Amino acid sequence: MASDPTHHSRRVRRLRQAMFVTALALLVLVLLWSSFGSGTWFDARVTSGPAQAEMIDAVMRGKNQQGQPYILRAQVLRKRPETKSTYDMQAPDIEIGTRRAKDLIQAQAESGVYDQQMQTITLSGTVELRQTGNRTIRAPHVDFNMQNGDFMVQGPLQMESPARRITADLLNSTAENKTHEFTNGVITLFAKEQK
Amino acid sequence: MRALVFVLLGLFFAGSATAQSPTRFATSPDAPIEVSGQTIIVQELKNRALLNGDTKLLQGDLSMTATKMTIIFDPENGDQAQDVFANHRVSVVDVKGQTSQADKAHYNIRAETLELTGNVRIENRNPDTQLGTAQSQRMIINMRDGTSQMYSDATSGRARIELKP
Repeated sequence: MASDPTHHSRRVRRLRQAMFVTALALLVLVLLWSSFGSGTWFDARVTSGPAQAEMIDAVMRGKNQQGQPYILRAQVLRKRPETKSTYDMQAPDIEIGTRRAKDLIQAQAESGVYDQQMQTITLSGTVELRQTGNRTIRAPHVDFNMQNGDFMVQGPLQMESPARRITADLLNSTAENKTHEFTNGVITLFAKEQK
Repeated sequence: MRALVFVLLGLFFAGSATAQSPTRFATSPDAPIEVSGQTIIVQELKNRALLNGDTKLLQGDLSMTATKMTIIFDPENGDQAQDVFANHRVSVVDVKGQTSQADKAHYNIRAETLELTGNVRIENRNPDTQLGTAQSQRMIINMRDGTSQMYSDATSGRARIELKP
């Protein structure tokens, strides 16, 4: 029995439509999955140079492995060509929630390196890091572990709050037990309590 | 001729003795307090900071050194210091050359008192003052006016002050 050519072309069209819808659904699923995983870039203006692409005013939102949210912004973000997931950042501005949900760390710097695979951020230049409790840390170099909120500050550094100021050469800060270990020439100043 | 007058203070009440030290420490209670050490570990959950290695507290005209110090912070305002405890080889020195040594010290910042305990010994190298040396088991320095009280307990006997003529 000979098939109807009109019927055949209708079936092909429906099949194509179904494939298109399926592909679209898969794309949405992938995007959703990635937004719950390591993060999704958006709001970025992508420009292509002769050697590499770069993102302007890039913003990334995501959650670390412990489910804490983070936002990573950079004026310019470039993926290092020799790596899979390492990005150089100009004027990075980050916000990271730590395991203790009410704690938030914000940091700004002149430049930074974000390793998406290792979930680490290295901030350099004039780094200013602000913690819950009106504390500010200023230092030339900060290594931040986004997985657990720990960070290491290389000095000369200064941690300042309304009641005290600590200067040191090195600081290792642990988010889990909220411990800060200062080393090398540590001096602490206490403001006299107002009566 | 070495002319020193030994005054043994036997003011015993219920097995203890108290003496007003005839000298004043140079204090600056309104000055900021600087505390330093080779390492400082700030434990926010315990409201304290542990200092180790050549620790030193400096407040204006008075300084204190010890092997270890612990700073206790106000639980309501975690960055505001309440107390400083010093342990092992405690030495308090003021700009006038008065030196005190003890086993332990407790600086109550709000009460403005510095309490030295355990083998307390004052030595005064200032030729203009009457006090030579003094010994007791406990001494409390009023950081507001610099005056001090010396105490002994039942086991250690009397507070002892050596005066220059």
